[in-house]
Amino acid sequence: MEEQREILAAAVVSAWASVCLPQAEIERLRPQPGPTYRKPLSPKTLRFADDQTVAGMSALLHAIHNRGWHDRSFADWGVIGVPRFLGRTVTASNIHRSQADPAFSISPHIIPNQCLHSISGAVSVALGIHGPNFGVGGGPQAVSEGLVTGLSVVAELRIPGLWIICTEFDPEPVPEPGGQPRNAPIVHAAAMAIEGSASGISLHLYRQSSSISHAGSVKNLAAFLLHPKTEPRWQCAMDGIGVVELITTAQ
Amino acid sequence: MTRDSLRQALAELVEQETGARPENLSDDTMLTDGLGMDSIDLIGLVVQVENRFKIKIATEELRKIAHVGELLNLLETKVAADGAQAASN
Repeated sequence: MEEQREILAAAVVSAWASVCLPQAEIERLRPQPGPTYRKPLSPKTLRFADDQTVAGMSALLHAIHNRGWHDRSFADWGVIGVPRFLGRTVTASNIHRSQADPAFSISPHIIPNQCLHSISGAVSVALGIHGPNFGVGGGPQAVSEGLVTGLSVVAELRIPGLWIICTEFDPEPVPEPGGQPRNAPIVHAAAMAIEGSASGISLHLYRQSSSISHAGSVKNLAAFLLHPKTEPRWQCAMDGIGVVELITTAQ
Repeated sequence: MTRDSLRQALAELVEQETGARPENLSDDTMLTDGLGMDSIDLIGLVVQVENRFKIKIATEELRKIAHVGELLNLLETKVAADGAQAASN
């Protein structure tokens, strides 16, 4: 017998895309990580951006392209960046260099490019977004925290839509002291346009006492978004609330 | 270091900062408009200069610098003073 569900919030994912890239490929993508939206990115836009930001921008540009939104304005939209451990490698490298050379000066680009809010900031500049932009999560529960926050923002109905950009490394980079990884990290990113009403993938938050236990990962979210018609649903748990669920609906 | 070698090193640092090799790095080139740098790029360049030459540039000193020539003058003074201090130690 199916458990009774109490829907707490609902919206629609009206555009989406995901990418999965070896970290070694990020530099090649940095100048223009996806199809052009309106005009090519300024060479400065992602010059000092974290690798997760580049991957997130790539997923975003592919989502816009896949949906045919090349001329659509997102000026009134919002954007939420949902990274996991963004900036950890660069910060570790800078700490190591500072310890080795106390006179070492830290670049001012670290602050805007290596923090929780870096992805949303870069996306807002690239798309000309004037709505809310901020980062959510940053740790192991980032995906569920980001999706619940996105549902909350859209439920306010003050903006026409919201981009949610989720990113993570899996496996995480294991850096040498100089900052270069000694392993082969893979960066995963998923970009989703969330609207109150549209056609697309249904996004729900519902209360469930016997909640599923996994918090969700960008890796499995990205895999779902790659083939949403073959996988009917994707779920993750939100501690203390219930379950966030994506359900494929008729296109 | 000679002024020309400082200028060469500065060109490399500008390229690292902006992604473009400066076509003109004459003394009267403006650091911002002339090299296409905004305020954060300028601070980034100063940080790179500090790390390359192992010197410190104070905010008050930076406020007086608008052109490449003024930055090279400051670098000549700082690098020479640093060399003299190292020689005396």
